[in-house]
Amino acid sequence: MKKELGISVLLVMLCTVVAVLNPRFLSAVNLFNLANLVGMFGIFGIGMGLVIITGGIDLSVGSMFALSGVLLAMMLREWHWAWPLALLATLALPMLLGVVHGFLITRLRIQAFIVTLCGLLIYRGLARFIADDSTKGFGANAEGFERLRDLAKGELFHLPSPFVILLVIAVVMWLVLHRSVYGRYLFAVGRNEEAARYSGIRTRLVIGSSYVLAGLLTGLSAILFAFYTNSISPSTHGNFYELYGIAAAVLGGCSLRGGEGSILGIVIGTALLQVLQNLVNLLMIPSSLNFAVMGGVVLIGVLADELLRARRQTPKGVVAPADHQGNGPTVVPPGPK
Amino acid sequence: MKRHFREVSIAVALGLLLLFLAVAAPTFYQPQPLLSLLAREAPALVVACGIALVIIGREIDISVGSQFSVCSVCAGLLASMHWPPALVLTASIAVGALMGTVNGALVAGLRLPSIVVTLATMVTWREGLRWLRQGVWVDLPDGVQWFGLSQAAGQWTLILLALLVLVMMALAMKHLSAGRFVYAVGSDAEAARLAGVRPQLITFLTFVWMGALVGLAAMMNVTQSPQVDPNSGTGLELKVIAAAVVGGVAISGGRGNLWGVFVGLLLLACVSPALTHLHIEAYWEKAIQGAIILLAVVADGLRSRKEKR
Amino acid sequence: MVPRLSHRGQNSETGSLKNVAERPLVQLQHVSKSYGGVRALKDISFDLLPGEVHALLGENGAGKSTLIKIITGAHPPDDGVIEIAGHPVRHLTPAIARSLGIACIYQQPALFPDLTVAENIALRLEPAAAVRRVDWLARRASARQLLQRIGAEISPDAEVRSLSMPEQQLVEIACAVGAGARVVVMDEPTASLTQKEVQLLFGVVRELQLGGVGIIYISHRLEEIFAIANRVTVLRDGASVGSYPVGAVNEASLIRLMVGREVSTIYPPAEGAPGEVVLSLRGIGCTAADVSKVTLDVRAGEVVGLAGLVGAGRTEFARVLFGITPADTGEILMHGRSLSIRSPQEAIANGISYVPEDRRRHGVILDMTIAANMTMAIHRKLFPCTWLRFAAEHRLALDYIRDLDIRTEGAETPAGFLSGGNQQKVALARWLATRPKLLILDEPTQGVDVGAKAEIHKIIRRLAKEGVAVLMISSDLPEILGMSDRIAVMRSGTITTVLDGKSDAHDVMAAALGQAEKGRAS
Repeated sequence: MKKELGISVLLVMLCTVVAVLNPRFLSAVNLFNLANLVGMFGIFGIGMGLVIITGGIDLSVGSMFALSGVLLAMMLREWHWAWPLALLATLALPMLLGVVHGFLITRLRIQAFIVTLCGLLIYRGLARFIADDSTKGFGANAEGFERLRDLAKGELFHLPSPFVILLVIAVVMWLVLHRSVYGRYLFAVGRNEEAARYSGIRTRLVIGSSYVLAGLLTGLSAILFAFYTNSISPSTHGNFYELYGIAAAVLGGCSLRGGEGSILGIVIGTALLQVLQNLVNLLMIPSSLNFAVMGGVVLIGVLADELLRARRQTPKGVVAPADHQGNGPTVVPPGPK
Repeated sequence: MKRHFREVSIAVALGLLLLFLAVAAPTFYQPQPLLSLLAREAPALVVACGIALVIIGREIDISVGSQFSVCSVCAGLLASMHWPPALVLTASIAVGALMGTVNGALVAGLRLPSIVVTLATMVTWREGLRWLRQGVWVDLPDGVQWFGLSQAAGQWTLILLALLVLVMMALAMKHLSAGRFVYAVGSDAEAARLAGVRPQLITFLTFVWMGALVGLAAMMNVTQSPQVDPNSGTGLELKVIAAAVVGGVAISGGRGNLWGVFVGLLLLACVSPALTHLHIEAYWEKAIQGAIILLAVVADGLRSRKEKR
Repeated sequence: MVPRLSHRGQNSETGSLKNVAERPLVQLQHVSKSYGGVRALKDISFDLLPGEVHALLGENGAGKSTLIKIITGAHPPDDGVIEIAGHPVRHLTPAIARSLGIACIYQQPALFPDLTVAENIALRLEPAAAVRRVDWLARRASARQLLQRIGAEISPDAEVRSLSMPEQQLVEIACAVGAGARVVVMDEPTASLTQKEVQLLFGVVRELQLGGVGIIYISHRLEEIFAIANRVTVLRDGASVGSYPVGAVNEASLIRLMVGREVSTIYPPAEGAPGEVVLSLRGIGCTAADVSKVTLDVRAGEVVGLAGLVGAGRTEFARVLFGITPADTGEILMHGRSLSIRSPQEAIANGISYVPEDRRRHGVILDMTIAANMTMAIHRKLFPCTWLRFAAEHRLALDYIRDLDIRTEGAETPAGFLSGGNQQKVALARWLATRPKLLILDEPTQGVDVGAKAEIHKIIRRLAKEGVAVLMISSDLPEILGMSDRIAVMRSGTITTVLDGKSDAHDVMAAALGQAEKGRAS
């Protein structure tokens, strides 16, 4: 609870600062747009959080957006698939890729970092190939798909629909993560995979399913992003989006070592990042500094995590035992070794 | 043989690729473009040697691309002010070493995770450079390109220089105690400390050395064209880390050697020109490189699975 | 090159103290050390004479590790004086300690897993000069020589990662011998050695003694201390309770000094006769685990001890039974019904539970609360609708805390805050909660202090009385002899004999070594 409180305070402070610097921040239009973005980024951010909690990571999310995006546009406009089928396929593709990732990570014991990094490279190449390196879209006003477009870009109860969808998903995932046995398994596997295995938990299934679940959420975000931009360039669409997901998760209390995290934290973390982005825009700071800001955020988040971890490690009354399995500084977010 | 399985298998893969190209795309084998390719990759080889050492020491440095850009621009500016080339080279190396010192101090001194530190410095150097230079290219005076020699001579010089660095480092990593200390620290830093090695110092020095090599590589890059592109380092870190991983350097530290890195770099570097000569779209380059990396680590995974049985 | 230890003439085999009336090799006076407010050492005075084996005894948390860290320079003391060979040393560091001839062999070998044995030895023995040419031929030759000298059959080119734990420890010993150390600290060196290797170790220790080397020997195994040590110092709660010549104490008095109270060393007796056969194994084998043709019956209410030398395959066999490396031949029958166990879930579902040997890696998740740890294996039963029920979990945890006398502040404390013995009880509770028909215990009291050990033994007996079939793997021969109704002896991956629980140590050891046993087989 402490971490969530801390970043909520940070969020409020940041919003105040931005509002003071530029009152346009508080305008209905700006807030609506902000909520819209928080919704889209938050949905797949939760998925990324699940993966990180099990001790893994997924760097291929951005490329999956490109691949799913072009496929969705082409399915609807060029191949004339029925929209339920197209939507299902767009949800299914990242889930399928999640199965592949899960297999490589749990059966062949390859580090998640490398597997998903290769995914990042391969899926974008595939996207460019399938789209013949041309930008895809749904037409100027998404003719023929107005219902879908409205669902993805429109309003529900005066809030942007992506935001509402995020809230629903956040509630559901909160129940799953913090109140269900499956959530316990996720945390246990993230903390100590072997001990979890020896307790009878099917660790391979748990880890693999986290990638599949993240895939589902990624697919959902992909649909929303596709309609939001209405212009999917396979070479740049979704570029670096995985960093947003990772940063939001890290800010929200998910340790890159696994075993820690909360849904509320991820949502607040996403909001924090989007407000930061908003700040950058409103203050006319060149957008190339976006990544500088985000990199800085991840840096601070990880630092804080390391410091807190070091402080927690030697509780009072326990003398730290001689530890000669000197694990060096983490090179990459550690996955199953 | 088992110990060098990786190096042999990627050498075989490279050989097969070259063979395939000889049959399917003989236009690949034109001497001048090949020479240019090798010369273009020579700076990357130098950087790859440095990054291999860093990774063996169980750290990582993703700021090398930004360091490269900064050093290139510095070297270009000094050259355009008509400094003598030897001094420009020294300055470039010094700037690189300085940036490496920052990384090393933060990682070794403050015990911060290297991925986080080098992410921060990567962004800092890159954005700082962009802010200072606004993306403007640097024009170089005559006489800088190819060291004032003919193009072919200049290219050969660069290639040989890179190979020299490779050989010297490979020898040092095998036969110099300082080199072995990096393996020790990468394998188990605590055991190294107990053995009297100073892990912090070793880590610090690998980052400084990395920076110095980047400075050298940047100079090698600058002498290849009449202008300096401030974005010349983009994507360098991915390329050299991929070369190391394909070449058998383990991310977990403590194992790997430079010969594998060399072959790995060549293999990955051949993908782009191969695509061109096979008339395949260029955007496949990254995907194919990703597939090669994946194949390499899957092979590792399969082999260690087999060993466990 | 390797310095030769000088011999000081022929003394008796146990390295008597005849030539030892001289300056201590190490002397600590009034040394104290605190870690963040916790006093680990209080006003300790300790000395080590040349040629002596000085044992250090104490419960877990008594301060032994801290004392060693101070002597080896790993941590500086807060107060007090350290004298090495008569000279006070103000700022002792590992490098200085090394140069003064202090070597330490830890329980977990501090080796480089990715490097070869030869390089490991070389890195430890060569001075850490940065710029020096590496002579691989010389390295391998001197490694080979050292290994031969201590009788270890290990190739210098082997990667340390591929060595077993006992082999790694032998490499460590080779390093210490090669370093020509004057003071060798051995921290539980026999924890995972076979009897043969223990004798090897003792031989090396005696040779070091003859050379005037002083040895600080930490062990929980009292019989070893009586076999090899000259003096013993007992620590309790960070303070020294006294240093005694080994001839002046016996087991009972040592335990009393360690614990501060009388603790019975008698094992709780069996009550009642064993019931029907719960588990029947016929020809069980698993090629991947090197286990073959295991045939055994275990009855309800019976404690079957599984004895054998390290490397005999007992843990591997337990893992086959538990489904981690499933059997590929043979039959498993539970109450006469044939079973197939291909995963831990299936084992648990059939009433088989396994408390692993390595408690920190496999047994307990240190960052999770005690309560969460205890329910880790019974989620299906306790949370049938997949919703966590914290109140029920808390209640269960409190029950077991009371039942097993776990010393903790509460059920929501992270398990990592507990001592080794209490962590073991938490691991035990997790498996007891599954109400197993067969409970496999792998080294249940390893690294556990004497008081908690006795409590765990009582718990095991109580379980048996309640009708659970218990299979207990232990390398502690007195424990096997004291606790088992029957003793199954394993060697090379199979059970060679089953002895009666009242056999004597000689018979068990003989069977474990594969010699013709002179006891009764059943």
